[in-house]
Amino acid sequence: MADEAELRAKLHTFGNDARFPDQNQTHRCFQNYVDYFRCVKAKGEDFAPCKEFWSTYQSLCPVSWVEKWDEERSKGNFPAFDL
Amino acid sequence: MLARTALRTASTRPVRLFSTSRLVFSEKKNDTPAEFGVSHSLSEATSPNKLFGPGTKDPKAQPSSFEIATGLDRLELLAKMEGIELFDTQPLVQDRKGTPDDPVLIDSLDPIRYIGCTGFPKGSQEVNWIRLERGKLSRDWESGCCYMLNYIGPEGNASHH
Amino acid sequence: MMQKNMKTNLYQSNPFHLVKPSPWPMYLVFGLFGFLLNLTMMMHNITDNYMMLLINVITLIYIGLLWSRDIMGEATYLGEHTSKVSEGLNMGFLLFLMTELMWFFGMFWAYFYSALTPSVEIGEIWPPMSIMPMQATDLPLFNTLMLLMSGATMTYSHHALMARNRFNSMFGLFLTMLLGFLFIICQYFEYYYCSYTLADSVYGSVFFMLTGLHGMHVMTGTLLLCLNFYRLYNYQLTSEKHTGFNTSILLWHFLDVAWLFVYIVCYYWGV
Repeated sequence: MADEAELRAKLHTFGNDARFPDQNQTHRCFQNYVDYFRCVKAKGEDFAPCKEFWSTYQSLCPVSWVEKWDEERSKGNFPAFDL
Repeated sequence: MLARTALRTASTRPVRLFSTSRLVFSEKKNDTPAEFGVSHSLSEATSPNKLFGPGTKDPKAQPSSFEIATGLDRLELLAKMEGIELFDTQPLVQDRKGTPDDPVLIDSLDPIRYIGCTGFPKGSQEVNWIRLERGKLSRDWESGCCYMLNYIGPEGNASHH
Repeated sequence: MMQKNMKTNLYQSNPFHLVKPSPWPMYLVFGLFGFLLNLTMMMHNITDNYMMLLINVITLIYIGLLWSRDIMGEATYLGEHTSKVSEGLNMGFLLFLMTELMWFFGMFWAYFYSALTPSVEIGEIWPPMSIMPMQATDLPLFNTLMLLMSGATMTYSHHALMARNRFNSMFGLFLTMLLGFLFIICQYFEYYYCSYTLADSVYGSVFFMLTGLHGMHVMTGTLLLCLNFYRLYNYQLTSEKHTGFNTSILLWHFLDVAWLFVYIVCYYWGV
């Protein structure tokens, strides 16, 4: 019982985000990806709240997109200002 | 025998040199026929050759239509100046329902004319297009109105175009 | 009535112009086909023969001039353009302007589609990442002023023509042509020194489609103005009837208004 509650506390899918009400969640995926790396850049990698963004984009974004964006970031081609 | 006569004819024919071409072409030929002229009013426009304008007198001013209009345009302009509407663009008047004995007569300058019938009273149906031919009685299939062509065009070679 | 009938009997009973068979539409069609093929091949990198394109464009302009020559002959020298024909020409040209309006509408739709919700590939911002748009108050503002002035000189020329003032009308038309030509020169200058091209993301595409095709229309409009200048100089336009001049004026004012929209959307709003 306690395990179940614990599990439910640890594993949860990210619910509704009122900023992105449409069915097309591309913007939410991109926003979280960008926000994670901006957060890391600003606060450092060990800052715990940054993990929210990481979890969201990991579950929401297609893997191919994430791979493509990671590649672009490494080459310096990523279309966002401060990354 | 034949060849010798041919040669003689060729040698007696006068030969024109190329140098005379320049003279021939530079001659100012006044070959405008006498019937060409200017029309200042509708009564002067008696033939298509008379439909020319007097031309612009003042080279510093842009001409007016009266000065340079020609042809059908000029005819229309001259008629308009006298208050006559040259081309009949009004719809045909239908004041009665034509019967086979007493059809509505439609004037026409051509042996064939197309008319659109909207029934009697006017506008009681969608337009039905009827082809009127000279000498034939035509009837609108929806309202029953009878029409006949009244040919008032030129006699003889009517279809000259 | 009888007198009228006798008159129209001699000529033509209807006020319309039944055109004689002419080769120009066919030639124009062939010319356009060649032009389009050439353009398409260039855009897909199959050929880079600019000489062929130049020959095509010159041929098209030449055919256009020959056709116009025929129309000018029919109107001025044969008198076949009655008032009904002039009205028809005016109406036809207005319909053409409606199609051009539809084209601009479609292009603006494309621009706003790409700009209002920018895609992730360009970074969800407009203008996209790394696109440095040119300053609106620089050369484009000058272009706007030139087009507005040319609209004024065009109206001046038109009114001078209606008042039979030959010199003033020619002068106004010349100024309009000059301003149109300067507009094209300035646009070329801008395109040359622009940091982005047609191929640079959707921004380049919509920007150059809007401004580029507007510029092409200005070029055609300037050519039409030159034709009208030739007619004005040769005493072919009268103070009452000048249908070709009227249609050119319509086109010019339409382009002026379209440029205002293009300027506000592309240069001001899109930054």
